[in-house]
Amino acid sequence: MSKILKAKYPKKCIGCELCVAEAQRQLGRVGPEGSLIRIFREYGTFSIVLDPQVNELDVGAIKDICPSGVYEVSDVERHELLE
Amino acid sequence: MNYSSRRILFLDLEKEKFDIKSYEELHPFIGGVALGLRLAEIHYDYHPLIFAIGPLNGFYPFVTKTCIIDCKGSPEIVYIGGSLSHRLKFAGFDALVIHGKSLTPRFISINGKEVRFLSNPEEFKGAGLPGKCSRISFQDGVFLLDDHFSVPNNFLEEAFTRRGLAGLAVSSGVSVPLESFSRYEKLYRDILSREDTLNILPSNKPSCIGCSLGCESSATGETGGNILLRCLVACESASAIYSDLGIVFSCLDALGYDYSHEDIERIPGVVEDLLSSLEDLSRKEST
Repeated sequence: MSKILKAKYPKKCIGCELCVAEAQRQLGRVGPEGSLIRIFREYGTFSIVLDPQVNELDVGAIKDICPSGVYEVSDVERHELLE
Repeated sequence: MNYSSRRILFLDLEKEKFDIKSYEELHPFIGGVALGLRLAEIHYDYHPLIFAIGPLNGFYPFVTKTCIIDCKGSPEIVYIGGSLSHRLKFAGFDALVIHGKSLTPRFISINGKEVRFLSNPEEFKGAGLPGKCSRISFQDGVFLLDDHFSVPNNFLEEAFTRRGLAGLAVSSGVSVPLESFSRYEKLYRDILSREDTLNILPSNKPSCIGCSLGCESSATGETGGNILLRCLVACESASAIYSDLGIVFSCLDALGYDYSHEDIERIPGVVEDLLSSLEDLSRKEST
C-alpha cells in the first residue's frame, strides 16, 4: 500500500504555504526551487497543484501541518508487473 | 547564501535601470527597519522608497512582514504582510531600493537577476513566475499586495503614485542549503508549535506565508512596535517569541549568522541613532 496526498478541500486554503515548506524540508531544502507543491493565489482565493512525486514524501506530515485541513491522505494499492 | 553581506537591488525609475550590490558593511544592521534606515541614510539625497527584510524571513514561522520606508524628508515606516518577504528572500535580496520618478506609469517585474520596466497592465498581469510571485497592484482605488494586504495611512498610494510606480511584482526561485539542517528543523517545529502564544485569533482569511493563523488583522499592516521584532521583520503578534533574545540568537545561529548577543542587544540604539541622523538630514534640507 502506498499513500497518496490529495488537496480535497482547496477552498479551505489560506495560502500560508506551510505545506510547501514541509515538502521542501523533507527534500532537505528551504525555498521554492523545484517545489512539488504550488499554491496559486488570485483575488484572495487559492488553488493547489501537486506534483505526483510529492507522494514519495511523508505525505502524512504534509497533511498534518496544514492548519485548515485542506489535505486528505488515502491508501492506494500498487499493482506491479511480476517477472 | 552569503551571510556576512547584504544583497541590495537598486532600481532607478527615471533611467529604467537596475543594479545589484552586496555590502559587507551593512551586516551590523541585521535587517528590516535597521537595514532600511541605514540605506535611507546612505541614499538620502534620492529620497528612496525602500523594502527591507530580515535574516529570519522565509525561514521561520511568523516572521512574515516586510518593512517599507518612504524617505521623503523624515522617513515614514510601515510593515506589510502577505508573501512579499518570502519572495524577496528567495529572489536573493535583503532589500530593494527604488529611486527616481517615472514620467509615465511603470510596472516593475523582478525575477532573480532580471528586472523589467513595463508600461502595459496586461503584460504586468502575466509577469512573474506562477505560484512564486508577489504582486502589488492598484485595485478599486487602493494598492494591494496579493489582492488582499495593505498598510495604513494610504502609504502605498502616496509612495507609488509620487514615483509613477503603477505596480510591483517579485518572483522567487532559489532554495538555500543549510549547514545544520536538523537543528534548523527542530527550531522551526518548536516555534510553529507556539502559535497559541500569538496574541491574535485564527481565522480563515488569506494568511501571510509562514503563518498558520489566517488572522483578520494582517490585511491592514502594522506600524511602530518592538525594534528587534522590526529588524527581524516578524509579525507584531509573535512578539512573545521574537522579542526573546535566546530564541532569536538560536534562530540566527542555526542559519549560520555570526551575530553575538551583544550585536542583538545593541540594535535598538543603532535604530535610534539612524532615526536622529535622518531627522538631522531632513532639518538641514528644509533650511
